[in-house]
Amino acid sequence: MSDAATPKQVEVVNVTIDGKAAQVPKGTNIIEAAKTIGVEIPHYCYHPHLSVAGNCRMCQISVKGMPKMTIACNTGATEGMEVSTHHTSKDVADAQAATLEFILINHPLDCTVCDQAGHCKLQDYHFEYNARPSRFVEEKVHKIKAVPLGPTVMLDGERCIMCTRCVRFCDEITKTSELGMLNRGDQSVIAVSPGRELNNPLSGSVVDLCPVGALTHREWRFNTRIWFTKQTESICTGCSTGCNVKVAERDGTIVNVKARRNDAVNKEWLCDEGRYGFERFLPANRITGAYRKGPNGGREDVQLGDVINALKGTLKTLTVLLSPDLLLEEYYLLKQLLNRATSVGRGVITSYKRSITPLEQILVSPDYASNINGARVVGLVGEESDGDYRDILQKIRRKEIENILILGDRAIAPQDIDDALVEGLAAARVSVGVLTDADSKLTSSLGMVVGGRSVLEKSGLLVNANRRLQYAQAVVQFPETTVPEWRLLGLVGEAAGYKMLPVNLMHVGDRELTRWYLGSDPVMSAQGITIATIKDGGVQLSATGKDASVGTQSGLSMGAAPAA
Amino acid sequence: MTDNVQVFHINTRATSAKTEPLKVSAEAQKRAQEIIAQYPQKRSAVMPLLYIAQEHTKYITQSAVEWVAAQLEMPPVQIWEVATFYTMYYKKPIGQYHVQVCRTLPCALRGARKVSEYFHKKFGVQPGEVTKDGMWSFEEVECLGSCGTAPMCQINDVFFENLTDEKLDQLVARIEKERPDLRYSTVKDELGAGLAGSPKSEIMKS
Repeated sequence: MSDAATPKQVEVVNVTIDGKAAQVPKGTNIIEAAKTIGVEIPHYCYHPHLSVAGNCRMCQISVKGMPKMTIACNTGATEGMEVSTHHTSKDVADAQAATLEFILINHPLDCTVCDQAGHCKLQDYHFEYNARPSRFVEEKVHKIKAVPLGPTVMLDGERCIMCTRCVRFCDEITKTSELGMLNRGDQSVIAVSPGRELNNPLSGSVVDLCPVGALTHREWRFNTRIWFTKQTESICTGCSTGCNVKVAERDGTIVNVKARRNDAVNKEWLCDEGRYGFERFLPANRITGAYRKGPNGGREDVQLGDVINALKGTLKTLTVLLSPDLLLEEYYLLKQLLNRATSVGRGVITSYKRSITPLEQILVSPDYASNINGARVVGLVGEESDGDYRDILQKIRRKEIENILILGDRAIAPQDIDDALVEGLAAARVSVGVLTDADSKLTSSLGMVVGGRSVLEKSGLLVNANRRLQYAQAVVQFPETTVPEWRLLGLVGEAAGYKMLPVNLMHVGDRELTRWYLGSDPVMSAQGITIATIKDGGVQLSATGKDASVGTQSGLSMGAAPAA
Repeated sequence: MTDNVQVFHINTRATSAKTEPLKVSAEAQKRAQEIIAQYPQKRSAVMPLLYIAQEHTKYITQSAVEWVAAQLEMPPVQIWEVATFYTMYYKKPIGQYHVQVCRTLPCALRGARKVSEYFHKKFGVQPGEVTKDGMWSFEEVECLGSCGTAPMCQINDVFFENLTDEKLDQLVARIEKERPDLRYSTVKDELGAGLAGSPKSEIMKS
């Protein structure tokens, strides 16, 4: 909130909510004002990034001096305002319970088959604010069910409580206005115009916004109950926007992806490409273990030690092709390794530049490189890295490069892998790849391949397009025999006599690596940044010094991270 | 009679084809532009333009909505929102005489249900249906703003009030015999003690 509100000097007023004092900018609505002192006011239709509709009536409060109850979402804080919520006013509590009973009158109560059950605001609030049986004995109104609104979203008209969040999202955020509310009264129903559909790059966001089970993802309907899933708060690695997500996983399959609120990054939106494509980083055919090219084009298994031995003598001239979605720690570790070995080798990276439509610009960054800024922050590559990347590919094609290490499947774009490149890679003295996808063209051209980990299997730091440092958590379990890039780098360093991580690399996980990084990079350690501080909305790195390298005390500012 | 309102349900699976906007007469197109010019915002003209479209198509069709949307540069779904909110825009074909029975509280307390049942029994049609001869259709609607004379109904554009079964018998008999023009309130309510509205149609003025 504060980022947008503070530049102009807004008058700060004192309000009392349930007897507790709060200081908020004048005009702040009471839901947000109450949040600042830890009082939750229930609401359905209100969303901090959408206009105020005021139709659900759940956020009723009592304000001293006002004759009737009012809705908190549409009441701006003024000096001396005294507010009673359901915690202190029985009238308010009764009104909320009655409102909830009213909202539930025509609700089908089909929780047993509803995907929203378990993360449904109707369930939550009924438990918390009403918890009494309905007195409605008449026939409920029947409406349309299981109507696809477009390629991504399915509507159940009966479950809908007409909060219109989805309508306002399409009107105000995407400005595509596909959705509307037809009919009136108890017959109201959300719909698209005949002959048109809800089909925009952010369309799945309306499902996140839906406080009940009315809108569901066509992709993930009826796959599992949410309480059987492992839910992880992570970061989308589709592009460098770094949207905050909550990923639900069951039995190694991603069964739901939900946007997580972060006002400094993605508000509470997520693009369809990122959401429905989340699992694209898990290849169907995995490389496990390590192997090298054998005679006659065959493969023979090798030990990790063989790979390390092959690499340890190459550090001085090693060319490293980096995926733009490796962890910040891995870029840092590589930079340290090359520095320590006084290497003339280097890392190159592609940003997977792409053009995006004006609608995608709301959220999407014009690249497929979630952590390319991480490589820039540690000084491994410059701002214009694509030129270097293309130069190196040309050199490989001309067979001018002897020692090549490829970290991650996306280090070389599929369209760049031509016959000349494959020949060039095969001709290199040492060519090692840490890869996951057994079907990629790269695997067959390299001298040695080590089964690596997908970005979804690693926890660590990412720096987004706006230089915000965020912590991504692994959302699925990695196969036991795979080796993360950082471990290989560390082991190669140790073998070459540069021990960088003061731990036994074979027995630590990503978390220890991150803690080691935060402690040893002077930029991070000087600011006392810990995983805990990053996890709460991320930390804004200073924008000064475009190529801010490690060790420069260019300064960090802790970004305000409002709680969701 | 349970589901007694004309509810507009969109089945996106059945109507996934896009429709071309309605072709209206040159006169209507000119009138539409004049109406739009009266407002600081184009979207304000949505209701009169829906009337113009309805005069062409007899009820609000997909192509009618597309035409209004194109004139006002509005998303079509927002035209549907208006058209489905108001009962004077017909979402289905109607009979020559379209009866709208008010069922909101004051009328309900004064016996609106009996009025509805009268038409149901008399014509043998459910709300939203048209008689086989195309003469009559009826539906229940929300408040028509004549609570003081409840129960009441509107036939085409004319109000008939303080209804009783006897009065309804007389009314239906006279309409069937005389076939008066009750459209656009151009005929005064000579049959009942109703209100006479101003012409609704902006086209008919000229």
